Amino acid sequence: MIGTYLLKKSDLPKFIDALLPEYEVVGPKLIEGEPIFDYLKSGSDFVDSYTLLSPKEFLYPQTEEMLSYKKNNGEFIFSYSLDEKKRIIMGVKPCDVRGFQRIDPVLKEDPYYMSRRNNTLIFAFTCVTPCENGFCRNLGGPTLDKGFDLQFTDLGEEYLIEVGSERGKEIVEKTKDYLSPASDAHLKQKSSIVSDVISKLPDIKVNGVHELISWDDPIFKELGEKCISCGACNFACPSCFCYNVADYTLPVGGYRERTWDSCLLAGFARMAADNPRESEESRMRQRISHKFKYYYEVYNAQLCTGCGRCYAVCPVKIDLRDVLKHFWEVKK
Amino acid sequence: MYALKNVYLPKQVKITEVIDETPDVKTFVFDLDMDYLHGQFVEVSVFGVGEMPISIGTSPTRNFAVSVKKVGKVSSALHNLKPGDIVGIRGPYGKGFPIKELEGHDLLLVGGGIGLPPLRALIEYVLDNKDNFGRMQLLYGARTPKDLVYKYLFPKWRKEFDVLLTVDYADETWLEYEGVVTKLFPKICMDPKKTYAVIVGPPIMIKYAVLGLVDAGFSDDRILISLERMMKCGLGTCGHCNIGKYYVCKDGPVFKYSQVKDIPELF
Amino acid sequence: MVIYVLETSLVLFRYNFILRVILIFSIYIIHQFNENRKNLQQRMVNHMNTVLTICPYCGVGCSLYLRVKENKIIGVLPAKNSPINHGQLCIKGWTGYTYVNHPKRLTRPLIKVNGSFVETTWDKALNYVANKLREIKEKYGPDSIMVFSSAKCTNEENYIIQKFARAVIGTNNVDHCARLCHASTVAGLIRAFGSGAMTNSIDDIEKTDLIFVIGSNTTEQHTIIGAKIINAVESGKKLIVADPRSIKLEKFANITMHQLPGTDIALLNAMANVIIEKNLYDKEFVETRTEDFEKLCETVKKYTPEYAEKITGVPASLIREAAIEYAKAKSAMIFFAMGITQHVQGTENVLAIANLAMLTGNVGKPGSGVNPLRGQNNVQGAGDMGALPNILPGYIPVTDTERKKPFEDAWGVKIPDRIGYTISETFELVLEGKLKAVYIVGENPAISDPNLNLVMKSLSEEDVFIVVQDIFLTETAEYADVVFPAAAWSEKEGTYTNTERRVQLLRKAVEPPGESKPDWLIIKELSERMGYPMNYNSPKDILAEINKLVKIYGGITWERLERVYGLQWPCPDTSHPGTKILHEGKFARGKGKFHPVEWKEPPDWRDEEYPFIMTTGRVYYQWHTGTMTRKIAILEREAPYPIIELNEKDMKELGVRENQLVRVISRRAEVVARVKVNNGLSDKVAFMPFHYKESPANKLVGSFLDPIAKIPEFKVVAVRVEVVE
Repeated sequence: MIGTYLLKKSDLPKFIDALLPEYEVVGPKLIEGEPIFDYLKSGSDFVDSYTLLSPKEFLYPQTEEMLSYKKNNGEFIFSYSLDEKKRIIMGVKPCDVRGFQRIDPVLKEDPYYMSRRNNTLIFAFTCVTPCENGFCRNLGGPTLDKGFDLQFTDLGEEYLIEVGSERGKEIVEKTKDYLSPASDAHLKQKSSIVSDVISKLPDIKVNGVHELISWDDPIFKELGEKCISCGACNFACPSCFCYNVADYTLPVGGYRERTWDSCLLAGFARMAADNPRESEESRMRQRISHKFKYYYEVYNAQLCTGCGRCYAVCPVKIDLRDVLKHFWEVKK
Repeated sequence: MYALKNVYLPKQVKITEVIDETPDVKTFVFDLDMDYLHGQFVEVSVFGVGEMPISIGTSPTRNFAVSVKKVGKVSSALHNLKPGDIVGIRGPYGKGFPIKELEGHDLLLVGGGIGLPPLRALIEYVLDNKDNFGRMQLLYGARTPKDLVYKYLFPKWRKEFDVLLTVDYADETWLEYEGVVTKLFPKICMDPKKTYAVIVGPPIMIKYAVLGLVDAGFSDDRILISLERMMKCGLGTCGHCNIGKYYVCKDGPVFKYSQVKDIPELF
Repeated sequence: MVIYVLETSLVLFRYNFILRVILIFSIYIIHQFNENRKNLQQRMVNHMNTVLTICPYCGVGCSLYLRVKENKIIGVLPAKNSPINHGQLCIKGWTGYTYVNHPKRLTRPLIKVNGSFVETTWDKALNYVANKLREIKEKYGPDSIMVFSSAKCTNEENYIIQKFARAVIGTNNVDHCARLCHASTVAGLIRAFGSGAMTNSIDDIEKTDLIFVIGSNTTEQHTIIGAKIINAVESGKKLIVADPRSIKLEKFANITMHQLPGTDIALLNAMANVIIEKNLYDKEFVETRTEDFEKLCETVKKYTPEYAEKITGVPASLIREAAIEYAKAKSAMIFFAMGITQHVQGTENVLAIANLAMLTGNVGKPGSGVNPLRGQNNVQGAGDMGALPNILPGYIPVTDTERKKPFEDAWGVKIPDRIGYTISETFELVLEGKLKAVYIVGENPAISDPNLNLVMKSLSEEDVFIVVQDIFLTETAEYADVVFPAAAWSEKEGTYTNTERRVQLLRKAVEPPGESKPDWLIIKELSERMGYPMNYNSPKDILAEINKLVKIYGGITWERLERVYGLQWPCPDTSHPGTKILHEGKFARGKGKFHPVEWKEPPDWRDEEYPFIMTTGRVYYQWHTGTMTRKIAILEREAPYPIIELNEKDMKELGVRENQLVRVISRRAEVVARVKVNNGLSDKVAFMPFHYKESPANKLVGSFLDPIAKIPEFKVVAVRVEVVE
């Protein structure tokens, strides 16, 4: 942390308004009564609230045109666009930020994702109350140590702002009229809020679970039978990144588009000759093993961030908390 | 004009020649100068239809060509193209054969059906650098005599090394072996301790071939297999080819058996 | 604007130079300020818009938000606060929006000249159609024109389409695709209860004790409802499933019955037999709220479980168990769909279900009821809006002189008494020369109607004038003389009514491409050119008229819908909160009526030459004729080619493996498909989805119609299966 400041809650709209001319600001705002991440037109649009989906789609949209081409005398002329606009995503919860951190090493060569990622500032908001379905206690917890530009913690009447990067420092410069310095007492207050939240979150062990996942665990068959292949868990997950690519033809050329994909669909791994994951059991095994085992073996960090969104959007209520508890049971 | 390079942008390449190998396999020769390793693959775009991963079928010391079997949407569209048509090529991707490690050893090559092209790349390289390698033996099988790829190369190869051919279903003109390729294993004349085995073919053939070679005394480290999975990006970002902790596009498609033998999805 | 002010200032302040300068200067400052503000707004407005709307696919009617960027939909979010889907969607909801932006969307009107389509202007196309229709009407009479309305269009559009048919053309020949799916439900339940719609609501699943699903693959076709049923079972409720094939729901069922297709009456009558014989029926309910119970007892006497076993193939003990469980449950819901309705005995199947429900007192209370799962997003609304040949909006019969008077007064015309033609009769009537023009909105009968060889022959007739109004050039549109490009679901506003009678608001998210227009606007402009001006400026005006004339929609106004997640009809006035459960206290017709029905062998039954009974249906990933889903990469990838499901024993007998090509031959046509295994199918029973234009299953289906509801028998087709070499 390079500095700590205080911002009165009533000044937050003005804080945002000060940044709007230069940056696109994304934050939760009420749309027909529901808090949803969207571009803010003014600081008073912002609400500090949990949202059903993470803001992953602002760095990595659901549908994105990769490139387009025009045919000219038998030759193709390609064109593509990268989004390099300066952007701030505000009101992001730590679980969602960790989702970005997990996606970074996988998509590090992807220009579409990385240009957005490099030009977007992250203003994380500590969770001051435990959310409904989260279990991030052992997957990082309700606040971040690093990976943010600014981190806001709601202390009651004011926000404690922690600066986490050089870019964050620049923001503080731009908005210093609204900020006042914070003291150790405020940091202590944040600690106690965070410990309180942690104590209320379910304590599910995650350390070492990657060794407990065995190939023929019966839970894969059980959950595979329930799963209705809607793909919601992958779409809502802040760290899922798989996508599908499709080509379209226009009268004079065409374009290539990518959309989010789900490993729980039968066609995900299907080749022309055969399908190595035809059964629902094998696909459920792939999802859970990839989340908790395969990614860990390569990057030494759990892909799951414990946000609980997959449970909220699953029509048949498949719960990863139960799955993790099951693995620990099996060990015994 | 952008800060980052777009790795998904294909290069435009003209087809210079189309060779009919079998009723459903064609070889496409491109005018392309690319630096690649044996066993790597490229993503070929037929614009408007899609992209598909294809192993490079020739040695870098010779012309750039791929051999494609007509099985799906993109390969069927590719089969309709003629010399002079333009496709897009991205690559090369994947970790090829570990040539440096293979040098100084004997090579046992086992191929099935459309698995011969990447082996051809290796064979051509070995023939161009005979001094660095020991003996070579090729066991190659297909469904019927019509499905054997690169038939016109066999006479030349047979002058240099042992080539055993087999088909699942013979016809009247077929004079050589009949049965699956693993039935030829008793005819292997290589010493497992001095040999690297390379297997390229359909998944079920790989499975039995590996088991057969392990039985014959080959160590897990000396058996190389080329895996096949659905691929879209070729770089390890789209997630389709994920097996265990590997991405077949990025960490393969050539793997040592010791790396993947614990993955139940394969064996 | 600046120049105008400058000129004015020059005139006004000719003599006072300083004032002029000050005025010009301040104008400049204000102008710059405005420009800056506009630029800021412009930058912001160029970003995403997030619009709350309703899913266009099935009758569940999930609410979702669309992410729109530069007039293109780039993402979807489920709506958490929706009382129906609570933040959940099925795969079609999550990925099913990319077709809106597809390059093949129709953008300009087309006229067929010498066998191929030529682009033209709206003026020319509308005038041509108006003149042709007027000509045909004068020469052959208004009843020689048939209008197909669309269950994918909004309520307002359905209302204006049936008004067009009745007021402008002067005929009752208007129908929509409910004819092919739930016409038997409406006909059956109107006779039994007095109202043809779902009696309870979707959230009754949480209040029920037992769920009986018959003829519905709920987790694939009404996914969110199927998921709710699974959740109910996991929380301890009981489930009975009856379906000719193995479906996912049966893994959670307490009792599973695999009856032969077309034998449902025997099964249901046997259950009624057991319930009556064991005295498990609700005596109080039967006595006080129903009539004709004795007639029912007479008829079901011979349908013992053993007798039913011979017909259906379900073991008698299982039938007995299912009947006892159903009767003993404190409250039980029946869900059914095409497996019950798409038969020559479709209406009678529904009556048999109604009998069961009334027998056990399971109507008119929470957690109970007879719940047909409507297929399309607005098929319930299309029926409510009277896009039917015998019914005016609000289910008023066209023959009811008194009750149709308000419509005649409002529209200024006399509504004919003659009941119009149905979709299922249309193509034969064209071949007989009785219909000279067919105006098709948002429907693809070249894939969805039975006996496709007849349909295509009829569409190719020289003498018939065909107009198709659609979003893509469908297989039917290829036969048209004129094609109007219509706006798709997210490009217009209006209301949809889902299966539980909930009317919800659809909001506009993107502009229609090219010159395409919303369906209601096309009909309005056509109607003007035919001499009947319609004074609507937006769907809001149409809904206002509906509020006045249709009693059950009386209180469902646009303003109310903007504030709530829909209202369930009947909702007669603006203070009414909507009706969750129908027939509480008394049935819509007074007393519920038992209709005893007998099982008859379906007409296209198997014999030696055609030993398989094939039933047609749908798969999860494709939607109906595939106009939308076959253009969506992920959905098309999941179910890309036509399949036929057989059980392993039959596969072995034929000598086929999975994915092998086979020829499927019926008494009138043949198609080719790949084999897939499904061991829930009984011996010599097959299943084939109808989505694929390269092998349309409906080619094999015959035109056998239910005499009352005129719904075709899609579910029983005799076929022979041969290997393709």
